[in-house]
Amino acid sequence: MGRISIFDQVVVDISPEELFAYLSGGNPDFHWLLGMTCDKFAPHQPVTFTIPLPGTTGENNVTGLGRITKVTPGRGFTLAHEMPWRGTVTCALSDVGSGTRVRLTADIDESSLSSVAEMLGLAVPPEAPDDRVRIGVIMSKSGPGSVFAAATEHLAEMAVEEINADADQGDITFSLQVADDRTNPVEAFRAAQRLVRAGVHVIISNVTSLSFESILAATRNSATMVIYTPINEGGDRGRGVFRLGERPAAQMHRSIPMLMQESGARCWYLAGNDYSWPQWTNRVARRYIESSGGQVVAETYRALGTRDFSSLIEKITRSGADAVLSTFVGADEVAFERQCFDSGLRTQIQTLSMALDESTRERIGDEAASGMWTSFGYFQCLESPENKDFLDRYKRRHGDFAPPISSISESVYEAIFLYAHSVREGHTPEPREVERRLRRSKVSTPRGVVDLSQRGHQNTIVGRAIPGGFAITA
Amino acid sequence: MGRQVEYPFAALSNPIRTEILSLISEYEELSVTEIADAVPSVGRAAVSTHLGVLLEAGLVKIRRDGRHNLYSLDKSSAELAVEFLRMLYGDSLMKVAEASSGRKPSTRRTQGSKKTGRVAS
Repeated sequence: MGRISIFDQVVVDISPEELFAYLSGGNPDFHWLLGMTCDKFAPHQPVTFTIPLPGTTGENNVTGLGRITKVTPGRGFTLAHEMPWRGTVTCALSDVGSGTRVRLTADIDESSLSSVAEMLGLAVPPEAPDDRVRIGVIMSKSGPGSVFAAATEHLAEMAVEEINADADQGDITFSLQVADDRTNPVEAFRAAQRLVRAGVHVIISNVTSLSFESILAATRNSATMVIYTPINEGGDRGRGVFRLGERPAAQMHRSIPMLMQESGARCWYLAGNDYSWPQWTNRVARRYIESSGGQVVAETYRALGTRDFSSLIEKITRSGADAVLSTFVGADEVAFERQCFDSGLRTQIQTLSMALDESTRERIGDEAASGMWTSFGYFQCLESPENKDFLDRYKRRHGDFAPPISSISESVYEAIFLYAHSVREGHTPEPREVERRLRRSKVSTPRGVVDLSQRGHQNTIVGRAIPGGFAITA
Repeated sequence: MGRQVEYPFAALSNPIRTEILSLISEYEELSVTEIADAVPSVGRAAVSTHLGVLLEAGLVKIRRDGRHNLYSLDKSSAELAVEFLRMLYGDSLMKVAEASSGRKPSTRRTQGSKKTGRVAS
């Protein structure tokens, strides 16, 4: 993979030390580098960029994600870009007379230029087909769901590389094609159509279930198989359709009673994004809340993409609830929980969040997320030998500053692995044959044994957010 | 429209133009008729006007084939992406210059880019 270097510099009239203080957050309202914001200017801290799209006046900004990798006080710093493009950017300050030279050097992964082109609205021509079996992955590289994308893309690439490296002579090998649904069902439909036209054999996706319905619609009359990997509400299990992720019941059967028992909370406020997964989750939640002796005081939904939750937080405060069940997703969940913390709500009530994975937690922030409850079939901190080995490989490939892995991103790695295994075993990507094998596959994965012959249920674990990650409680 | 099209990316501010450009990048070369058929929300005349803006902005080029004008991208998607990124980083530095001098910068500025074959990990 090649890199493109972009460099640019200016000379300004103040000293490097003075300038550094200013550029590294000395003025909290000065978001100079691609509109960068972060909680603390220190290595490992996640940063958010606000990237203006051409000719628009703000509402079409794209959110970029990255993290700080190096800080040299008075002299400069380096950031990693994670989404929508990958690479690094270094800001170096040096003395020039009585002033400072500010030099920016960006090294961009050439392979991620297609993401930038897509962001500009340009279609990227697919690679010409070859004799490899083509795996399409649709993820949210932009919009609220982009929080999960960096790790998802890394893991999809790692899965395909590992599977190909493992091929014996004559074995089927695989290629990967990634598409972005922009966390939007219309774009999801188009992305799926493009992948079908490009001849993918399977579409694997961890977008919202709203987008996934569009993917199903776009692939209905094709031979393309579809595998939905993240937490989900279930539904159509028709021909060629798989849903691997945790169901609401599996996420809640232990977490709700445990939260209530440990905190004494009884009155729940259900709040989430306005589409089928949150709605269905809340239906199931009522059952567990009532059977645990609690009650639901209110249920409120907000559109995907909401950023101001002040009126909702006011409602929650007035409702008398002592627990919130949050089904906000991605950047919406980040904004909601940060505002809950800022308003003081975090310390007054308990929060169980169904999509609070490692990627979301780090963007809410160590302090603001601490104490929140969640439940998944996978956490990065799992101590199994399979997971340790998996994390070692991930670190070797992507370094110490790689974005954290979560159930939502790991599930894509796992699905690629399961699919490829079934194709290789049957020596064919023929969908019916693959499906037959897949429906009875049982493999050991970083999250433990996944048995697709058993209806849906993998083991789930309850976790609580602590600085740096999660503490597993059961 | 003159000033707007000096800035190549400003030509993309219109969703129909983005759609047209996207179509051209997907199919490599298209005639006005083919584009008008694929973009039913606007008429052929409007498509021609939009193509004119894209042409002036240096985003597409024309090749004459018999009786037809065929439109293709003047720069590859990747080249446009690099140009866009260069503009973003450049704008960031201009913000530094403006903020630190408190007025329009009287700064010396050089920029560039290069492609390296360096293998990423």
